[in-house]
Amino acid sequence: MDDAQREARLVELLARYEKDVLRLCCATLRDAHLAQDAAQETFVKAYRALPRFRGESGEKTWLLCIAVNVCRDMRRGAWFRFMDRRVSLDALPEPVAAPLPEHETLTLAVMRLPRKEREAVLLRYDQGLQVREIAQALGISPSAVSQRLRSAHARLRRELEGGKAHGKA
Amino acid sequence: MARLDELRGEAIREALRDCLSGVEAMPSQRDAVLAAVRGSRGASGRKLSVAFAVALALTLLAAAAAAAAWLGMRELVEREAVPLALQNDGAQVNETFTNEELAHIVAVAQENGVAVPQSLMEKLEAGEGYWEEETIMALAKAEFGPMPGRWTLEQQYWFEEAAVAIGFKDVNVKRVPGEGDLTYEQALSIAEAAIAERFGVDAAALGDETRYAVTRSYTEVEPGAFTWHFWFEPLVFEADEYVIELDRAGNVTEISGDAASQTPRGCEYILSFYEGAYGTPYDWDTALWVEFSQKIREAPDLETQVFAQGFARTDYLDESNLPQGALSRADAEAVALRAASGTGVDCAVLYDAEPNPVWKVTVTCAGADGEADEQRMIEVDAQTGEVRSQTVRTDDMNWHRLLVCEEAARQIEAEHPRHPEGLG
Repeated sequence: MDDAQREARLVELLARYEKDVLRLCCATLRDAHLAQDAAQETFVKAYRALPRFRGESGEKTWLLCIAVNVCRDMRRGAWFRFMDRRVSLDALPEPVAAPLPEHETLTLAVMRLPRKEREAVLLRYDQGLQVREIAQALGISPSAVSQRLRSAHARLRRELEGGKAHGKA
Repeated sequence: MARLDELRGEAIREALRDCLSGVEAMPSQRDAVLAAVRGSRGASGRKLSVAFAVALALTLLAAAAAAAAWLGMRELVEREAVPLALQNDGAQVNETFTNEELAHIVAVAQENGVAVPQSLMEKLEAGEGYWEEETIMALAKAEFGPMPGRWTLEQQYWFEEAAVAIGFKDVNVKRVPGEGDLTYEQALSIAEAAIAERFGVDAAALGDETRYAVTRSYTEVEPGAFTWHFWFEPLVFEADEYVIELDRAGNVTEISGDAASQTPRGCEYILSFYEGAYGTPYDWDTALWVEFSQKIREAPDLETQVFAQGFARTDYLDESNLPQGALSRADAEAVALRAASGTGVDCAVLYDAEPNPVWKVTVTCAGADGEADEQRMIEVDAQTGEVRSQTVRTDDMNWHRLLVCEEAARQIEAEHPRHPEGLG
């Protein structure tokens, strides 16, 4: 695959999946500016990786896998969990219309989930991946994905039930 | 709010769609990506920093001069892992060491007495290689400690250099105090004094390592923007929690505290604290369950926290107190695996029951449709090894359900029919 072919392929990927990648990065990093950086980094890495992409997973799964790792990298760069402790929707792009209060509450609760559970929830419910695809993206077994989703549901229920929101991720 | 027992994927999907409706791809973003890839052609995908390159060169020189010299963890990373990672450099995303490379790193580590964490050995046995950065992180954690944020600033800086060297990170924002900087001790002292003044606590208490673990960093995220960060994480319930940031000169730029010592710890906090301190409850040992359940029983909000009542009503036992001849955890897990034809154990707890204590073991079993696995909770008599019950976990069963006494779980389900899944 020469450079021109690679670039043409990248343009296709951008057209199809840029918004999906950006959404995932936004929800994961909880910050629109960081998310833009992460999305860019995702596509740059995808460009580098294109010659090795053999279609073992779907291309969306493959791209989201890269995005997950880029986001992890960015979060790990902070080393500490400080940012996680101040979860808010303020740093996300302004919604088209004011979200329903219950949607805000639930989205905040999702963003407060521990990283592993949050990744699984976002890939499943926001990106619409199947359990098996999530397993490919996260490099874990399908049963581990199922378990993370179950744990996430339980935790969300617990938090929304009115328990003290401790804000730790 | 939607009824909690109806909280399913659709509700989450709708909520995220609503709150993320402002996310839009922009042409400028696309242009930036294309500009970046055009600019990167022909350039190396790796950025070996000058400092790390020098360290690497010195290490290689030293190695050539004394080929038989023993390696420490850092030399192992610099001399073996990083060159292998660079050698692998290609277009692959999320680069991994092959299993052969991992085997080589592990072998050199073992030859030189460098600690190899169990997690790496498991990856090696799995035969699929492992992420480069995770390999290095695992080695570093084995030597520096499990929490990178508690490593010394110099250790943090070193690791970041390694991460940059293998291409995992683009830049190293970690800093080691130098000329014009406060020393670590000075910065810490300023932080403690500021917290003491602001929250009226004894600064000396913040230095008590039995009460606090200090996560620290010194970074320069943007040129000239140096930040000291300290997080005083309580190791005991009675301690409060503080976060503080200082600029390069030691001025406080951010300070916050959780005056929880003035507020009785509720069930949520207790669970959160234990999860933070000891990891997922699935991995807790029996002694920890005894301690945790006692704390839960003392929580002032226990009555209203349905999820916690299962823990409170389970009379957990420490396996070291079992009578001679009783089943060990490993024995009980083996019984459960056999009974359920399970493929792996997820968790196990031990509690008192009539006539004998019970090991409740949750195992994963292959699902009937070959698509999704299922979990089964097996009660094993800790004295006789007899299987007393076997329950398939359904999707609406909370994770707590796996870790509490079956009888208590059933009682709570009967008392709280509003929560069909039982424990909240």
